[in-house]
Amino acid sequence: MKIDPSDCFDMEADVGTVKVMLSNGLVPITKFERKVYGVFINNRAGTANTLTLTIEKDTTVERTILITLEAYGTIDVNRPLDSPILSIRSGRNIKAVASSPSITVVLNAYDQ
Amino acid sequence: METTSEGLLTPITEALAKENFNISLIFPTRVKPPEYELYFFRVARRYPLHMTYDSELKSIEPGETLGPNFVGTAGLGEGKDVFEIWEERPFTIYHFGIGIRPGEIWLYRSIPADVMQSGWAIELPPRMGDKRDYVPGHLSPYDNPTVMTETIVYHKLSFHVGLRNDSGRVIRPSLRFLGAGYELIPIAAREIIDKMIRGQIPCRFLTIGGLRFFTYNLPDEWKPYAVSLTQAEVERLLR
Repeated sequence: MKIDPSDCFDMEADVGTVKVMLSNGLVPITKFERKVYGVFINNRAGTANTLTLTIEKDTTVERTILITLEAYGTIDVNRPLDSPILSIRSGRNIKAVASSPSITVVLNAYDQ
Repeated sequence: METTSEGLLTPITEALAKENFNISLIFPTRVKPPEYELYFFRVARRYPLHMTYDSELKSIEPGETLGPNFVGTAGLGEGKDVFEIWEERPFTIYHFGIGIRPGEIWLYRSIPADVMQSGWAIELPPRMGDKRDYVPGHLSPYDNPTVMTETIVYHKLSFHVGLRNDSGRVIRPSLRFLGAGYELIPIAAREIIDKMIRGQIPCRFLTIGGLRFFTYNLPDEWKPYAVSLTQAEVERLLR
């Protein structure tokens, strides 16, 4: 299946110390999996911060990804569509929580 | 032009007839034993047919559907039917494909309006939302519609489309209708028609309305040109 730019979408959240689901964060059960090929993360705090991404089925955490950011640090990664950074299986959702406020998270993805 | 059909993923722009080419439209008249009615035409003139639906379409929630309804000037089921051919132009037909954006939008077609198109021979007629008889945008992209969505419309043939959002997010879809309008000269000479059926004279044969049996209305002006294709006729032609 050829992925067109119009098939791609963003998952995003302004993340504080309360865990939140990213917008469009649930992979529909009708899909095989979600591919994340782009990441933009910005720590808006003046101190180092840790972002915890969790991949969950309902509320059961299946995977945890820890990302440490410097004060005002940014991670900006964009990969080709056929070389995604992260795969999320059908029926899972992605949530995020920070060790201190606030982190902007934008993930670019497509479903297949 | 070949007498065989085009590949289903061929761009519709490569499947259109040019001026001075022959086409034949095939209709079902009986299921058992099978009988068909054919109409043969020469394309006298053609002109590009192009229309896009962008902001005209409503957003569709995940898993939800829109339509089926006629393709209107103001949106699906709104305004005047864009594909309703004027009765003064009985020998004009439209031949086009439908490009779909994004790929997770599924397209259903009803031709005539109350008959959902199907390639299946099962008891239940297809319905909007079924996981069959739809064309996903990946198979007929907006920028390059394919034969998967090939459609013929003539005066008295109604045509409805429906959409389903198969993604997990709200989508406002876009559609591109791309093809050509033809002005046709009907062909009546039986010896020429026989050669087209035998494949001796090039002709593009086009199935109207999918494989479900349906009753159809034709322009009155076409009726003298009907050709019946039965088992006996096929056997006669193959001799």
